[in-house]
Amino acid sequence: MKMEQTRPYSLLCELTYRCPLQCPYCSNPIDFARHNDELGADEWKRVLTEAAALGVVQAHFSGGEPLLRADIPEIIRHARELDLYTNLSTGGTLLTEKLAAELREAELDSLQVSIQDADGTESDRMAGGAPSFEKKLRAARLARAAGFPLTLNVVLHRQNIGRIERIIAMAEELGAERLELANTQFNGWALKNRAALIPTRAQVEQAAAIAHAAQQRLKGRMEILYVRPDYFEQYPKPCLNGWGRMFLTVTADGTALPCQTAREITGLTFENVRQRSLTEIWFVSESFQKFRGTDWLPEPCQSCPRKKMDFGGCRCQAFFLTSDANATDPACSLSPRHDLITQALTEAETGADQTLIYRNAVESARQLLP
Amino acid sequence: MADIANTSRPRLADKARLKWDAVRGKHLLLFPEGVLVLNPTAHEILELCDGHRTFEEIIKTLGERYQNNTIEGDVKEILQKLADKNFVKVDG
Repeated sequence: MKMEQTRPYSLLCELTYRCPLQCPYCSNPIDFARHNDELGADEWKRVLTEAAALGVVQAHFSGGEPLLRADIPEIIRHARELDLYTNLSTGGTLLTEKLAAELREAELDSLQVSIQDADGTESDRMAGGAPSFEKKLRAARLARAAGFPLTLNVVLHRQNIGRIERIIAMAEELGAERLELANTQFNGWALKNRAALIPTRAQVEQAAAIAHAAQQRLKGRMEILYVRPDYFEQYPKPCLNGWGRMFLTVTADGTALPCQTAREITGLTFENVRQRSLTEIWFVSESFQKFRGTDWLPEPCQSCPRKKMDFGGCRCQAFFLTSDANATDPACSLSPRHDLITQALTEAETGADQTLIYRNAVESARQLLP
Repeated sequence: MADIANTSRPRLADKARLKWDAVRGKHLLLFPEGVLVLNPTAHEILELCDGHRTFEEIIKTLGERYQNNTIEGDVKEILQKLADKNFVKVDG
């Protein structure tokens, strides 16, 4: 395979795995609690400097809860000095007027606040832990008052998707410039909670119709992204537009990943920015090469005319569902293991209920027990 | 959606920013979770969308630059597309 000359546009910095919330669909790894050796501010600055030289133009800061780090304005200021576009994604509960002003001073470009539902009680129940809904609304208003373009992030699932109209109205009322309505991606924590979270087909279709009508109505005022759930589609999503192609993630403890979920894939070794430069990791590390391009694809992908559109789908989903990260994403209707998806959809229609497993340190440890 | 008026003063949306990408040698438009690689024409138009110049003035500037007075329709189409995607504000 010839040397890939592609360079990443975007770097996701997961500044910490600590979080006051416990959302049962969190994208952090199941074993997050044992990766607690966080990079310091100077290490993050070095990573950002290397990233900019590598071609990264956008730095996205998330967590866990990134506002748990007192040095966040300093890290963002450094990213802006490198002329990176900076985006901060927060659960909102820790945002204060003073901190919003400091982030503005650091020239943060864009702020995203996650809210779990338009219904306060339901939002609190889904986020787990101490009540957070009112604090999230306040954070969204503080962000607007400080002059930030605001994105509201709402993860959709069977327990809140029926309130999509109220969610859109809430985003309008808060003055959001963007609303991201992303259906739950069933990897990691979300897969453990799939029976409780997977919507029915009727729910998905109804929500899509409402979202599309709102997109037309609000055109030019508020942008609405509605990400359709891949379980209900004929073909898989082009995960990250290809492995090691446009995106990379550096985790709280400095592990460099092609995608934030990838560290769950056993058998792949991911390198750490404490041991190796980001440029080397991107171009020559085994983990970034492994699924880059299309040469590695198995059948039925290899002879499929869509292979350069979806790259065989999501590697993490293939691994989670089939235990083989090399497999065709089962979400594809052509996958030999598509039965894994259709079975889940059948269960969704019959409505198997399940108690939520919250994402917290105790569950993180418990899930690792044999 | 209403047509772009001659008196409108187009400007980049708060969330959007232009950047010269020295690594790739391209002009980019950056926004939350996205990047648009701009062709030279789109970049020249966006550079003039500063919230002070009117649409009429932008057309005049570009027309003089290219010695071409038939560009209005094309520029309007590009700006309208960018406005529909919320990258540019054209109201008022």
